[in-house]
Amino acid sequence: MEKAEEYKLEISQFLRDMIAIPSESCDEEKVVLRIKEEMEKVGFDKVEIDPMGNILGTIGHGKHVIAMDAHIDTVGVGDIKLWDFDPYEGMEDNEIILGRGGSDQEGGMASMVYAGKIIKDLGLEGDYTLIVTGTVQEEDCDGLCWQYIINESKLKPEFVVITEPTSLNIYRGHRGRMEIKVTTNGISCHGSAPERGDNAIYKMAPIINEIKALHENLIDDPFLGKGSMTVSEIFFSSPSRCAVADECSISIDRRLTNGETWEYALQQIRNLPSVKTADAKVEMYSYARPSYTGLVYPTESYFPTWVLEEDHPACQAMVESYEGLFESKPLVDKWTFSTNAVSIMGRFGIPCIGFGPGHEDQAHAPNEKTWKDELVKAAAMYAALPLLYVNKYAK
Amino acid sequence: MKSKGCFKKREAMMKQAIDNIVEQNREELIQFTQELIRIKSMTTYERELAQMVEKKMKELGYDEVIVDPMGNVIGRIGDGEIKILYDSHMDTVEVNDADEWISDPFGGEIIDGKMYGRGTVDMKSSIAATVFAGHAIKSMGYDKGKTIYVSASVMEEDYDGEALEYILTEGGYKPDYVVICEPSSLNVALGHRGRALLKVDVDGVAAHGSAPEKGDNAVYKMNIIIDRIEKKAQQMIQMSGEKGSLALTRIESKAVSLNAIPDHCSIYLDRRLIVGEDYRYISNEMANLLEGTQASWQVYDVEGTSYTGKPVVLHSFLPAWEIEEDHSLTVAAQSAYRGIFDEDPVLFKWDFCTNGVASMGKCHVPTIGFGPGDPKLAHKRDEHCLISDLLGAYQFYTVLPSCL
Repeated sequence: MEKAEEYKLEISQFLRDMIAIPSESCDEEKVVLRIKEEMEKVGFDKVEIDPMGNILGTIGHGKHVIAMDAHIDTVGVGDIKLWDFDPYEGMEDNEIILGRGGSDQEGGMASMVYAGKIIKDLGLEGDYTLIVTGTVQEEDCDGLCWQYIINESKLKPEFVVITEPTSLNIYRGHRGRMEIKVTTNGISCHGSAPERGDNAIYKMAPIINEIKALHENLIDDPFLGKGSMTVSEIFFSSPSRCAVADECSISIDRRLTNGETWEYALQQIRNLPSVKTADAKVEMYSYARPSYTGLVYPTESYFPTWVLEEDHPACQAMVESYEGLFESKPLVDKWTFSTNAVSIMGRFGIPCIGFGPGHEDQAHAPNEKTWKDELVKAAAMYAALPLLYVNKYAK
Repeated sequence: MKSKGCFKKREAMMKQAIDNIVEQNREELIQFTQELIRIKSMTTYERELAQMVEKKMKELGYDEVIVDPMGNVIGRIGDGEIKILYDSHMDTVEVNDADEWISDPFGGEIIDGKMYGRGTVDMKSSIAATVFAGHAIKSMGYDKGKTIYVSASVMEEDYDGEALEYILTEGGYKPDYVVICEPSSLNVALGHRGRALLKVDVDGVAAHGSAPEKGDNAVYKMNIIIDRIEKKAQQMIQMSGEKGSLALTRIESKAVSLNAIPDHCSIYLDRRLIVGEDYRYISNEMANLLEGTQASWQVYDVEGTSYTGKPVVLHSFLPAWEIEEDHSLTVAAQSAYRGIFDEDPVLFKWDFCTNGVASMGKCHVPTIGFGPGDPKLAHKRDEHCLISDLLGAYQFYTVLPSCL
């Protein structure tokens, strides 16, 4: 902890450098190169950038592979008028750092890199290999980066620490989500003679009613709560401005709780009487935007739910590290938003545990800020955790 | 009645005179129509065509030719008490499939007695026929006691009626009769349904998609209205006799992001109107449809600028109009037709909108429709007009004033 305190200045400066480099999804190259420079400077054993553009820094050569992840893309600044200062220039005082990406989540990246430095300084290496990842495109398509890392780079850590903001609480899950499209088809005709056609918008109306009703009747989960569904968009197509619409589509933002899979959620909609009557098409959206390196890695817009049991070794090790460092009991809870764990644990079953500097309510907000003492404490946690885990919990 | 007898008295003489006029001017009329076809004149791009029409009117000895501030060309023959206005619009719709036409859409080629090209039907043959009719009226002395206005107006395709309404109001023209020269296959049109484009808007409250209970989904609010509209539209379909119609043509929602509850939803309605379905009637109908919701409605305005730079707003409430079968204008049209073709004309109603919404629908000037070309060919590939229709319309426009 003391060692971490010593690096407060360096951590803060590194974070401010990252904030200064705009890095919206699919445009992260410059910030990745800045991270590479810092990783090399503090003495990582190996630093690589994979073909998708993710950066992976390695500490140690031991048997147990542990990963820590921060996505290093940010959302845009939104309405610039709502900011009191330049979102990229940012600013700081003794306690806080302001700027886009401070909490979500270049702060987590800064703490991890200096955890690597602390491990080296204090000789906290053990029979583990720590992989520190800075991943791309999370804001656009959460978890896609880790689909690539696990499938293509064949990296299979024993667990992954997600460093998204938790206000230094320990988070062990969140709801999943998916983007669903429902389409009805009709027959177009001239607007002056609607009886000759079959209006696709009219066919959609009862479906919308049943979706609204279905939302009220979704299953509950004691830890994550209920899922949800809402129509997030409606649009149509027709051959001309004054013609009856021959196609109507809605997008559904579906939040999934424990026990709800994509098959389940799609079938639920397909079973609606109105969907059957209209013979509507129910499908998942997909994502295929190229990364900044030009790599296209198509996937369905499905972000599965994940929950790590409280007595899992990764969770236990995190709790014990916390108690050891801060001499108090941590709050173990869940995120409201979604993280890269949707693929790591949701798709691949690799345990994830969340601990990060910054606050969830700062994410995507104007005047985004983070707290220097949280950055320092997180760095200490990340440095202490791997050795404690391999010594006490690893098999 | 004067109009009934107008042809009989001088029948043989007049027929001969008309035949002579047609014979003399036939080639020039056809050639002018071809020239009009060869000049592109999409809506708001009518400048070059207007210049050509203006020039031709002057060449043909019109008493006055004016290009008004909106860009409409209005030629006058005579200065008598009874005023008749012929209206044709100069703009055409675009051509997106030129490669698939049997002839260049801007060539005006004549094949088997038909002239091909964009605007042959809608409605450059009418412009040519009326412009030449003005000349014929003058040379035959039919302008005695009459004033003939020949208008070539702008922007009809997207702004139905706005140009003619401008001519009849701000332009200060006060004709007693209007002939809309849209294609009718030389039948006599006695009116058509009107059209209102209506937009319905409803606001909701935005919220993140993960917490829909914190928002108020505008799409859900609109859905109640859609259900009512469908029922209303169905009721109208079930009605018998002449009736209006209601079509829901577009829907769109707005949200702050892809993962947010929409805070706005809009729909667009295409309401076809019969005579009697005026603004008040539609206001009541909309009030009923939206009752108990937080939605609002408005007539959808389309804004544009004419080629002269004048702003034009289409306030899309276009009233229906119809003229009685025994109206003196209808009777005169029948009489003129019989004199030329030796048979009674077919009386019918158009199933599309024309500038008649302005002349009779809004300004209450007695109006009929008569024009060369089959209206079914308008806006289509291989649009073409029979040369015999062009010449027939030319004769009709020439004779009609003498029957009034």
